[in-house]
Order: sequence, then structure tokens, then C-alpha cells
Amino acid sequence: MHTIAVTGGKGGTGKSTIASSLAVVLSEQKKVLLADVDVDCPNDHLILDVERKKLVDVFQSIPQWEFDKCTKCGTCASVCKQNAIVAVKGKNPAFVPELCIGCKACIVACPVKAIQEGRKKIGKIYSGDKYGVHLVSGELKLGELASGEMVVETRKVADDLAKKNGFDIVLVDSAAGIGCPVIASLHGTDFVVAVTEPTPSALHDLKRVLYLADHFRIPRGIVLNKADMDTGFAKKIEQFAKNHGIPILGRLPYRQDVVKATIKMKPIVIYDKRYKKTFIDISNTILRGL
Amino acid sequence: MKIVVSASGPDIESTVDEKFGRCPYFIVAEIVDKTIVSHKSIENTSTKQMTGAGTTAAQLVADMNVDAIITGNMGPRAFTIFQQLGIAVYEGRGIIKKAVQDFIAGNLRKMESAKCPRHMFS
Repeated sequence: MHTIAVTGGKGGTGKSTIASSLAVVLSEQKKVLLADVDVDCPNDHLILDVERKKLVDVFQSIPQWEFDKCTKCGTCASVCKQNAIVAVKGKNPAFVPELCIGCKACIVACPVKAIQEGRKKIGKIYSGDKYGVHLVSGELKLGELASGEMVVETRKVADDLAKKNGFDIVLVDSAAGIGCPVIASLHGTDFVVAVTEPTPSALHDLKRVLYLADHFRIPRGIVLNKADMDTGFAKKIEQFAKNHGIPILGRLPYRQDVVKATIKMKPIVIYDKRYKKTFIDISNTILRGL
Repeated sequence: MKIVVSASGPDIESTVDEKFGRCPYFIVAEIVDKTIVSHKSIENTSTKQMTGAGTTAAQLVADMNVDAIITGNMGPRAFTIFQQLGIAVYEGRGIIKKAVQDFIAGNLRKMESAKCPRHMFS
């Protein structure tokens, strides 16, 4: 089983657009699971028009005080970096669950072991099928902070499902950026597909996300989306790729088609079969490299 | 009895500030035998924060060993903290001195829940 991450740094370059069509095309040769780990705003179920059904709730640990043991020393409040615990002289500490990220520092620090581990719900994992692709979609509960943890849980569920059911490929569609959730999306994958576009912001952000892939020593390739949007800047991206020995897996044109397909809730390779060839070429290049 | 009021200005003739967490001042009033015997103002240092002003303001006020709070609106984080600490929160508006006198007379309404913005999207 191989895991391929689709990321890119800059938002809006076409990660989900490419990940969803790549999944559809790959599923013609292999058994594919698409894990949507943009847990803040998952969209793959909209691109593929999948009716998602809830698989599991995801929980995070929170402290639970045994006040009969509490000596009101205030240590728990002093170690909480989230300011989720308020200690007042002579009173039992007050706790704000919304601010807790489950680090358990308070549980560890309590000198009389008065704090147990409780839990709170931080999100849901859904699944569904379309075009031969099994989608697993992670969604963070609004107001919760633990995006990274939610990504880890969604990947765990996806990996378990994939192993148990003999999937060949897990395609991980990450969020934009380079933060905790993206790191959790790339870590331990076999290949990173970096989706970019010919703009200075995209190139800037692409370099940042490729740094992550290199840090984790994961082989990587670039998909240049909206390639003809600016042929001059596209050349800069190609030159950058060449200078750093990063293969360009494929190029996609800047067309209204993709917008139309997205609004009709169809992956581009289904909306217009002429796009299939490019995606087949990209998938073959990736499979050869694995 | 010690009362804290969220204040828009540094004295008892100022108005009650509508928002608890980011009010510029707190007025701390000492009540003995249904009379205001002393009062002072404290700057609310939480206003400088980007986030979490409600929790920090709650800590600031709770540390003063207050018996009750008078404010216009209080968010869910500060509210749950005072609920857990057993400190009652009352709704008050207008001139602080009058609001405290209304409190003494038992005319202020106790806040049963935090004021939450309407959830428009799902």
C-alpha cells in the first residue's frame, strides 16, 4: 500500500481539484482511498458529489478534576499555556473546555494527582463512495482548535480502513499552508504532489511546502496547474523545478471548464474526458516513482 | 460585600460598559449595610490582548475576591468561569452608581447564560 500526499502551500492552486481527479483516474487501475484531511474546510465530497455518512466521532482529552483531592494550589492553571484554567485563592480551579487542546500538562503537573483524563468531541469523520473512489472526510467541529490532531485521527482511520480492505493507494488531500495540519498530512507518506500555479505567491509558498517534504525526506513532484495563466511566470516555476531536480509531473491549462465542473460537482476528468490523458500521465509518473 | 462593575470610564459616575471582557476599567465597590462605603477603579489590562480577553478579565476580577459582578454582556468563557467559581453575574446598564444602588435594592436581573451571537450558518 502506498500513500500519496497532495499539497501545495498556497491556497486555491487546485489541490482538491487535482487530488479528486487523480483519485478517479488511479481507481481505474488500483483500489483507491481518498482521505480529505483539510479538516477545517473539507471540500472533496462536493467536488466528487459524494453523499457522506458519519463513520466516527473524534475526541480529544480534557482534564476532569476530582475536587475532593484538590488542594487549590493553582499548579494546573500555571502550566496551562492555553489559559484554559483559572485558579483563584481558596477556590477550586475553573476550566474553559473550548480553549483546551488536550496537552495534558495539567494532569501531569498536579502534585496530588487530582486530575483525571476526560474527553470532548472535536470533530467527525465521514465516508462515502463515487466513481470507484472511497472517500474518507475529516471535519473539525466549529470553534475547536485541534486541527492537527484531527488530521492525525482522520489519517489513522483512513489507513486502518485501507489496510483492512486491501486498498492499494491512499491519496491524502491536505489543507493549504505549512502548519501543523499540513505537517500531519505529509508525515509518513511515500510521495508528495505539490500543486502550484504561475504566480509569485504560489512559488513562494511552494518553496515552503517543498522544504517540509525534503525535511521528511519524501520524494516529491510538482503539478503546474493553470499553466498558461502566465507563460512568463510559468517559465520561472519550470526553471526553479529544474534547478532543484524536482520533476514536473504534469501541466494543466487555465480553463473555465474547471470552474464549471466544480459548480456542477463533477471532477474535471468526468466533466470532460479530454482531461483524462494528463491525469493518466501524472498518475503513471507517480506510480513509476513509488 | 464586594461588587465589580464593567466600566466605560474610571469613576462611579461613568456608565456600565456593555462588554465585560474588553471594558477599559472596572469599578470595585464595597457595600456595607446596603450603602456604598467605598469605591475605586482598576484598569482592565485584558483589552491589550488579541484573544482570550474574557478569560484574562475573569481571572483579574476573580482574584479580587468579589461577591457579584454587574455588566451589560458577558461571553461564554468568562461566564462559565464565574459560574464554576460561584460568583453571580447581574445585568446592569446606565450610570454605575445607579446600577449598584439598583443591585442593592434587588432590582437587577441575574444572568442565566452567556450572551451568544446568533448562529446564522450551519
